[in-house]
This record gives sequence, structure tokens and C-alpha cells, in this order.
Amino acid sequence: VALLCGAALPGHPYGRDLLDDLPSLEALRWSDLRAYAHRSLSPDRLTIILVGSFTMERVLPVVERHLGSLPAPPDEEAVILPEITADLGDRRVQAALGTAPRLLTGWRIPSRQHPDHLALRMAVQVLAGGQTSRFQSRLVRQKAMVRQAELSLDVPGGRFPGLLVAELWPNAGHSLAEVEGALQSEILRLQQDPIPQDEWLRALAQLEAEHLRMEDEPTALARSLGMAWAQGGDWRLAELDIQRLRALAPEVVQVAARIWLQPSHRTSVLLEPTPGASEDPVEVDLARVLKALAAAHVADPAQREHLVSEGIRQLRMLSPEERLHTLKLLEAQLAPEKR
Amino acid sequence: VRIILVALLVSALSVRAQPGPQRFTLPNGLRVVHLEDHEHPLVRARLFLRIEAGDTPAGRQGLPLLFHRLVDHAETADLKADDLDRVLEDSGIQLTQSLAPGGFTWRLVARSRDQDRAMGLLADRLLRSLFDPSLLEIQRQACLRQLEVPEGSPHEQLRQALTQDPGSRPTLASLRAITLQDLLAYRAKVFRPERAILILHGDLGLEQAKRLVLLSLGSWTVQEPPSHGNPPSRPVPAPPPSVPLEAPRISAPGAGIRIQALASRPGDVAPEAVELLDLLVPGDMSLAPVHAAVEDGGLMATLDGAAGTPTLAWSLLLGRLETFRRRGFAQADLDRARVAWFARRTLDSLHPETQMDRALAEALGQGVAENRLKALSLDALNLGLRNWLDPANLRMGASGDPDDLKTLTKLTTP
Repeated sequence: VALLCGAALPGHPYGRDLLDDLPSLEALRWSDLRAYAHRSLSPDRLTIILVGSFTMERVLPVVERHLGSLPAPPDEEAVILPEITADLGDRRVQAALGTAPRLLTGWRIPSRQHPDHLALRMAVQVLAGGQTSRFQSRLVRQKAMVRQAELSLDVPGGRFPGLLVAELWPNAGHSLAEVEGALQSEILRLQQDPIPQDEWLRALAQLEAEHLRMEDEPTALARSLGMAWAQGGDWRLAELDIQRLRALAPEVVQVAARIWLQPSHRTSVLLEPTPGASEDPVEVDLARVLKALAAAHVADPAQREHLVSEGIRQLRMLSPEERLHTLKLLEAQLAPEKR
Repeated sequence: VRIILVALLVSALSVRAQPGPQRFTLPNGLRVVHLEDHEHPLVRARLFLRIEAGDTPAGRQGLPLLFHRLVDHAETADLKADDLDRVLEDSGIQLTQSLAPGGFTWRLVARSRDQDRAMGLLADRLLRSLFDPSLLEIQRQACLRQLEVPEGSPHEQLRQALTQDPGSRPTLASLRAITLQDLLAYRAKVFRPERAILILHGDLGLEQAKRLVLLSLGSWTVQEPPSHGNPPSRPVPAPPPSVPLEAPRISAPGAGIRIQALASRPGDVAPEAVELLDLLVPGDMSLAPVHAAVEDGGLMATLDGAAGTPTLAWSLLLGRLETFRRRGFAQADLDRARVAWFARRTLDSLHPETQMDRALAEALGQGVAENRLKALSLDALNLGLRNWLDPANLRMGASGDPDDLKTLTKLTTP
């Protein structure tokens, strides 16, 4: 996700990866941390959310006693954050990471305070909320193209313009390009075809029930109030949002999807497993055999590595049975002692 | 100084006295605990079904897992699997199923206006699931895939490998040997109302709860397996139980080494001691750099080390645990933990799930009594810790770079 945020939100704090700042992180001193705490953990940035059975008369003196003497922060110039245009252009990153192929697609979307934000929340629910959602019913079950599909709003945060991120894990025999195409089809369907009423009502019922569950659990309620304040500037949004969702029309969601989920807002990260690190034992064997074959025919190590990676990438498009068959054929080309 | 205070006053600022837990038993033997709470128009139900080691025949390891998957994906007498999902989601009902070494659990959350439908659907899934050979094959393949290509990060895989009892760990052979007849026999043996406990919480009165449970689960009787038309079970020899097991090693190329030790909870440690150790163990500085915590599976100790230091990390973790075990806690620690426990207890009434956890523990005879907790002596606490961290009770494993793991080849669980 850090890779996606970096590529989609360049120059913005949301796009920063801590690993990029490893040297400065290592150089941090105790005094730096104290100065940071003094600057950041100040009363003007603090919101206290109290949930429970109590009265203001009882609780306010306690809060005053413990936190009323916190020193006021020094006057500081407001930090100006770079503004990122949503239509930076369609971006693509290809990388080798982890043990399983994965597609991450992020669309630059507005902050929580934007009028379209609620419509995008509903779009997420229709596309990926629950077992009957479009992603689950079509991509996971009907087409069996992916084993898992998730959609998250406000990545990495919703106070500033951030991302709507789709994360999909392909099943064996389906390439990342294929999955990317299927994802785009679902987005186009949302933008172009009217949302059936039963689907709309189901999505709304789920959001309403989720809201009720959140109100029933103090930790979730406190978090929701805090997020509403931090992202939207008003804690009442935690309750207002659900009322506004009830008043939303399906056409508004489609309009928001057409505006914000377009290719020029999109960044895609195609993650292939690191060669040799796959969690699939057949692929591990294929990488081993391909390396041995390449070593016998190609002298240049860089060229060898490229050949192996490319071979693995192409073999991933085969079904598990075809890959097993290919493995046997390739193994037959190796000298017996190297098999 | 400017402090922004957002206070949400639950239930119009009043502390409502909720009735205490009410218990009743259906004629079929199902025990029910009812916790009334009208704060929100929600009803929660948790149905726990006990399983025992003897329920799984020899050579059929993985039977509970396969059974769990089948119930979760099966059609019922009235609804196809997809239709069931649709009906649930149309009403925003949440129904989940989980499997732990001690039993199956179904969790249900519904708006109170949907309580009849929700309990009906739970009963449907529980009592009227249809098992057929094609579904068995699909789920068997899914289990085999999971076994061959484990899901989750290396750290998750290591945790899973440690928390699963080695004797009940499924193998390719045991999963392949399971027949439909085995599953039906398992259902008849395990799916019994007298083995189950239902906790109901929320916006419904006692009489309403009785009516609801009677209507949905009152007809629950044991489903005997059909005695004809199914192939007999193929016997598979069980693995010898006394062979020392190699510590699990999870390969993660390029990653640092993680050593983990799990001490499963011995039966003779009192629930009160477990509660206090849960508070005391995680913050104990003498364990550093080892992190330890009491979890569902037992006491888990973790040490993350730099690449290239597996043997050192392994010895360090064992050494820290042994020192900790011998040293134990002081009276001041015990007093502090008691104060913290009572403070935490006062917050329980805010959390519906915690109340349900407590009610279930009490129904299973594992509840914590305040008077016993107050009376727990330091010697009893330290004895509990010593028994728990007995080296013979430790199961250890590692994840990290394959080259590092190779150097651990001669190490086995203590």
C-alpha cells in the first residue's frame, strides 16, 4: 500500500513511506522526539471522546484537573500541504514483492468533507460490501478469478484527498492483467448501468445495521466520533452521514463514480511474487528448474535473472495442471543429478 | 488552553440497572443464558457447541475443519447458499461461524425487529444444512490447498502452526480419507443440543427470549446418520502419538528471524490466576526483549531477532522464560493486578461482547469469581505460572530466512 500511495500521491505526506526516510529515522535523537511531542501533543490538537454512563457535571472537573494545565502550543506557521490534482494521469507500477501475486488499484478521491464522499462510500458498499456484493458474487464466485477482493475508502486517510483502493488476489491460472480487466469492467458497470433497487436497498440495510452495531460498542463509537471530527471537522458527522445516506439516490452514486473512478485518477500496482519466494510449491520448483536451465545456456547473470522472471510470469497464466505438466517437461531437460 | 471535549452520553445520561443473567434450559437440553439490555434496538446471539478430542476418529484429523467448511457453505432445506447470504444481507444481519480447538461458535447480530428471522436463519444453518458429495469434494480441495499453500503472512502461519495441537493437525492423507459417512456420523455425535450453550443479549425480554429460542431451536434433535447407501470409512493408521515433533519452521526469504513459544494452558491453573497473569505478563520488563501475552491458545512468547541470529534468539527466549518462571511475581505485583482487574471489570457492562464472553465462561464452569480472585495467594499465582511455563509444556517454532532456519535443524521442542 505504501508503494501505491507513493506513486498515486507524490509529494504529499499521505504518499510518504517511512522506509524512504530510514537514515533520518536512525539519526533521530531523544530531544527530537521530545520537541515533536511538545509540538504535536498539544491541547489544540486534542479531542477527548468519552462514552459511557456519566454526567458532564461529574466528568468535566476530572478532565480539567488532569488536562486543563497542559501548556498552550507556541504559535507556529501553518504547514502548507501540496495540492494534488485528481487527474494526474493513469499510472502503473510493476514490482516483485511478497509470496503471492496481487493487484492494487487506487483512485484519487476527495476528502471526507467533499459532497461526493458519501456517494463513494455507497459505491464501495455496492461493489465490495458483504458476500452478495459485486466483487464477491462475480469476481470471487462466478468467475473464480480472484480468491479475495477488498475495497477501502480513504487510504491512507480521509482528512485530505486520499485514495479509494481495490486490492485483489488472483487465483492460480489468472494473470494480473486479466484481473485488472475484470476490475475495470465492474467499475464501468457501476458508472453506466442503473443500480437495481434490491441491490441498493441491501447496501443501505447493511450500512444502517453497521451503524447500529457501531453505536452499541463503545470503542467503535468513540473511534467513529473521533474520525468524524478529525476527518470531517465535526463529530456529529458520525450520525449525520447515515441520515444523508438514506436520502441519497442511486444516480448520485453513478455520477460520483463517473467523476472520480476514471482512468486519469487511477494508479495500479501489479505485484508479482519475488522469484523463488512464492508460496506455491510448484512455482518454487519451476523457479529452481528455470534457473538451472538458464545457467546452462546464458552467461550473463542479469539476462539470466530476467529470463527466469519473465518465464515465471508467463507460466502463472497457466492452470495448475498445465504448470505441473510444464514443470515435468522442463525437469526432463535437466541432467539427472540436477533434477 | 483550549480543550475540545466531545462527550456522548449514552442512554440519556442515566445508569440503567439491567437485570442480571437469566438461565433456562429447553426440553431438548439446550442451555440458554439471557442478558437483557434495551439500550439499542439490537439482538446478539452466540451459540457455542463443545467438541472433544474423542469426537474425531483416528486417522481423520481435519474432520472438524472440513465439517466447519461444509456447514458454512452448505445449502439448507429451504435456501441455497447464495440465497441465505442475500436474505441475511437484505436485513443487515451478521452471522459468522468459527472453529476453535474447544468448539464451534456461531455469532449473530441483528436489529431487534429482525430477531425472529435472524434466529430462524441460524437454526436453518445449524440444523438443516444439506451435505452432498460434490460440496464435500469442493471443500476437501479447499482444505488440501490450504494445507499445501498456507495463507497468511509467515508470522500468521507460525502462530497457526503453534496453536494447533500437533495430534489433531490434518494431513493430506487424513483429509483424503474423510467420507460423507464420517461427516454425517460426526454431526450426529457433536451436533447435540445438550452440548450447546446459547447466549442471548440485547433488546428482548425473558419471555420473548424463551419464545424465540423455543420456536427456532426447540425442534433440535440429534440427526442420526443414514445407515445405508454410503461407502464405509477407509481406515487410515493414526500417527504414533509419542514421536517427538520437529518445531515448525516457516520460510520467509530475506526476513529477520522470529522465534515463538506457546505454553498451552494447563487444566489445573485457576481461571482467577489466568485473569491476573493476563494483566501481569505482557508488561513484565524482565522478559524483554521477549514479548509475552496470554491468548486464547495459551501463553505466547515472541522474540524478533536480526537475520543471522537464530540459535542465539532461540536460547535467549528459552532463557528469559525460565528465569521469569523461577522468579515469579511479588506481592506488590499481585495487588496491582487485582486493582487493575476490578477496574476493568467495572467497564464490562459497556461491552456487549465482553458480557457474552463472561456469561459463556460461567456457563462452561470457567468463570472468574470475585471472592476467589480476592483470596488468591501469591504462592498460588506463582505456582500457576511455574506449571504453565514448564519447559515440557512449551511448543516452539521459528519463521525467517531459509538459510537461518537451516541452522535450527538440530533443535526440537523442549
